[in-house]
Amino acid sequence: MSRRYLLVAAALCALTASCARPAPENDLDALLMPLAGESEARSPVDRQLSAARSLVRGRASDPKGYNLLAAAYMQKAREAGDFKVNEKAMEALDRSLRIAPDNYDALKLRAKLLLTFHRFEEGLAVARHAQSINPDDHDNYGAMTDALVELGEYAAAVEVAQRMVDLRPDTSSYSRVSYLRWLHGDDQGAVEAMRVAAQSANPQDPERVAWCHVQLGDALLHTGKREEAEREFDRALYVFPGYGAALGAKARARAAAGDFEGALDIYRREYEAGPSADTALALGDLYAKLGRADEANRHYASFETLEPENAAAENDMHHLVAYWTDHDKNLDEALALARKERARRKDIYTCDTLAWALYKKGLHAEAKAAADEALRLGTRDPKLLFHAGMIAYALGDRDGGARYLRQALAINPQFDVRQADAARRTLEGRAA
Amino acid sequence: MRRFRRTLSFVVALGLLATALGAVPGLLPAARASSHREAPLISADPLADNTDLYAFVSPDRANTVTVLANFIPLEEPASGPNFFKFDDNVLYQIRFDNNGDARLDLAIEFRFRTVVGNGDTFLYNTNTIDNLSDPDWNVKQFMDVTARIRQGDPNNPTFTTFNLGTNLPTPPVNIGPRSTPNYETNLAVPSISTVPTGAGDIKLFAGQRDEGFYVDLGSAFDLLGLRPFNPAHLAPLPTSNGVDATAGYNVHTIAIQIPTQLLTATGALPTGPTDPNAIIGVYSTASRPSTRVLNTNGTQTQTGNCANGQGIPTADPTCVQVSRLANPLFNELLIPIGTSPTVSENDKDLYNAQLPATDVNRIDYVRGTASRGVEPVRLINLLYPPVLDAPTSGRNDLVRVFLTGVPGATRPPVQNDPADPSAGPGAVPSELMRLNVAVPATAPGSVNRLGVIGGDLAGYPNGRRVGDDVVDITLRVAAGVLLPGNACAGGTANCNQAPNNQLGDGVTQNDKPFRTSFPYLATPWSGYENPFHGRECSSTPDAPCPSPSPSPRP
Repeated sequence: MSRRYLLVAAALCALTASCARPAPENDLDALLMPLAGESEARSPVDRQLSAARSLVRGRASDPKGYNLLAAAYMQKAREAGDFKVNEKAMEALDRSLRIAPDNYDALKLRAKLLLTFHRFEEGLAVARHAQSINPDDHDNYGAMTDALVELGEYAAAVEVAQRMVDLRPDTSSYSRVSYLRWLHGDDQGAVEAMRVAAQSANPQDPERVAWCHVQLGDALLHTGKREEAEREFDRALYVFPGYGAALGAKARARAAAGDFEGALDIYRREYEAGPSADTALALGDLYAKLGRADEANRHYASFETLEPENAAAENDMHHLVAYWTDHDKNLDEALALARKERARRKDIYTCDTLAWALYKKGLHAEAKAAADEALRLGTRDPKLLFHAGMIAYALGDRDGGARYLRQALAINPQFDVRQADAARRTLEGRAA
Repeated sequence: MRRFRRTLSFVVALGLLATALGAVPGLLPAARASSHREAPLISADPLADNTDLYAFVSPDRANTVTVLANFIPLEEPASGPNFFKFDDNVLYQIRFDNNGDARLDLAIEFRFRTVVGNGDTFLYNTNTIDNLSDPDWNVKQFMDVTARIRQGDPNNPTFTTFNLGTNLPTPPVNIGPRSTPNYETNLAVPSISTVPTGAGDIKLFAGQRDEGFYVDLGSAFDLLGLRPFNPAHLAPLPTSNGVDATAGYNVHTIAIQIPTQLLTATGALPTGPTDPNAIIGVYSTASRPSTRVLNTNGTQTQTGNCANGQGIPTADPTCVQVSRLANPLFNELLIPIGTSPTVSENDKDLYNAQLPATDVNRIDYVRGTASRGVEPVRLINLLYPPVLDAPTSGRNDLVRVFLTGVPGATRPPVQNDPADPSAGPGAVPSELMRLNVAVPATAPGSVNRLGVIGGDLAGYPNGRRVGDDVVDITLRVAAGVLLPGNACAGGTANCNQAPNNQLGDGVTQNDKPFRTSFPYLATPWSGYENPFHGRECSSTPDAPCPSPSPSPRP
């Protein structure tokens, strides 16, 4: 349960004496206990949760109920942005697989869930096991694609995604096609596939529709079409009001338009509704950009408090390492963690994080090797290009560095609240 | 147009209100943006999900056949702001076999194109939609319909394309009395297109309709409960009336009414029900284009709704059939979902992707074997002890209903029939809806919802009319009512007696009367007026709001 839920629960408790709810008798009761704030009348996912709980209570030895419960908890975590709910999903799947070790639905869900926990190798292994049971289920190829992308096995990812879209073209396969095209530098092809994905999405699943529009907006942003991109974020908020992923995207689009106050406003309202590490960091950077150092530091401090909990839950130090590196803090620890992650996987973002950490420690030659790896697919991501550019400058390659920086700024002149300015300063020959 | 000048600002205000509500702390907190890109969890594709197929001799227009195919299951009428429409990326097809070889002879193809009038608003309509060209209707959808007709040798077919219409209108969804008043008169009926041919007019329609399938899902999914037979269930409950779980929902329908001679193999009207050319097989499909993940030349790939010249099965690997339907309940009841550890038995997706000629491989699911009985028959025997046990294997009667046609009624002369050595040799058993087009339509007052088993030869499984009670028919047929002699109770009793021939879910009619003319399915429920999914209520305890609507069909 997130801190926010605890707070809400405490408030409700004071008002209605609902805190008199009896303590769970055993683990199963804990697993089946409704989350604070659930409302069957309001939310389809809450209805799913309730139905799955009834099924488990009615037939505790049937794996199906646990599978449905896990799927509902996973969707709940996704919609509510409450990562901890995934732990309940994992427990439900553990129970299902104890009852029937090779039951396909549980294996398939477990593969997806392991990816959520950033346990990519394990997720891939479970998905492959599921594939050996049912080789024709396109859905499972989605999990395999995601795992391979995260591990940096791009050729294999493309192969699996091709099998997926040939088995069944639909939103889930088109959206993978889009991402792989984008990673390989085909911005226009990415936009096109994501547009089809958005059009094909289930209209009765607003979160999915909104998710597609956020992805489409991001793809458009990468082709320099900021206004069209922002319109997609607005559409996402229109079909699924209050959607966190869309609010963040909308704020980024505002910042990209140079409307920092507008971006600040969105993040501030989100932060006041419930502080999250991501929002804290975005606010910190925006306040810093606007020269409001006290407020910036307060939000950086908030990030430093909130993020470690996320990092532990998600088994993912990436955000923390990127923050340290960007803000010149804990650089030794950052580099050590980046090296450790690079030993575990070789996706372009892990390579990029390592490159940037090496650069900050002055290990420029090694940084260049890592940056080259990060750009090995030709991905047109301004942040990757910015890092490569700064590293080239550090190695005395002014022409190469300038080329990268200009490329980054051409894709999106405001690609990052801090780094876009640093790129411009460097190009103008001033200190970054 | 004339009324409600202030509608726009009012709707905008509502939208903002919704946005504000969504941001209430604790209800929808900000998502943690994950550092890896998490695609949606569930892969449902309702826009390409074929739910029901109807094929019947038109009761109000002699010598024409009507075929309706429904998509997008259980549309909630109050679904704004994300209103339903056909998917511009999907190829929707009705396919015919008219010579009994289980191969394609004619396909009617529907493709859709959405046109947004005013790109500055997300609103579906900015004021009342009075007619099909009303500029206040912002999200219009037009359709192109083509006929693809086999020429020459069935073993080496080529297909000729005939354009039946481009940019044909489709109606908006039924929103309510302010947005879509007089829906049927102003919007639905004017969307019917007429295409003149030498044999008479073809009529075309595509748009939202009331869900015409009626079934007590809530009870059926509770261990195959049939409320009128509740006391006879293994877990008895008091008898009660059936509950129509699909009441108050809509679907999207593609519809064609076509002169009969345009469907037959000879191009002529059959001389009578025994004319070998009187029997046609029908099924409907939805297909989506596949695409190359990466393009070798670095440029983008075209996607699109299996564009012109594509979409003919087996000839076009880039166009993937994702949904197929002929007989109601066939995939739901007879195709196994499988259980671990041999989930490779899960045949539902493969069934959707394949052609009818492959169904010969599914014959054991329908007929049953000693080691593996027909699933629904097993369940009925088990759960209803008073029912005379019907045989769970060797069910050639079921094979005939679903895979070959019934001799003397819907079995084409060249059709192989495993229970009849004199039949064929010809086509392999294949799951098609078979219609004898020479059996005249039953007069509206004399229609029996039970079709053939109710003595009404113009109903299911001779094709399917909009009102046919396919749930009760299928239950009774599963319980053996078509089996001759003493086949039930271990070979001691004729199956066609009570309670076997009385089984039913207690829902015997649709929630709305059907139209008496094309496209027959009833006008869709509007989001505003829906007695099933919402009635006026208050938050005070003495007038509580109704409980949530029934769970969706899986």
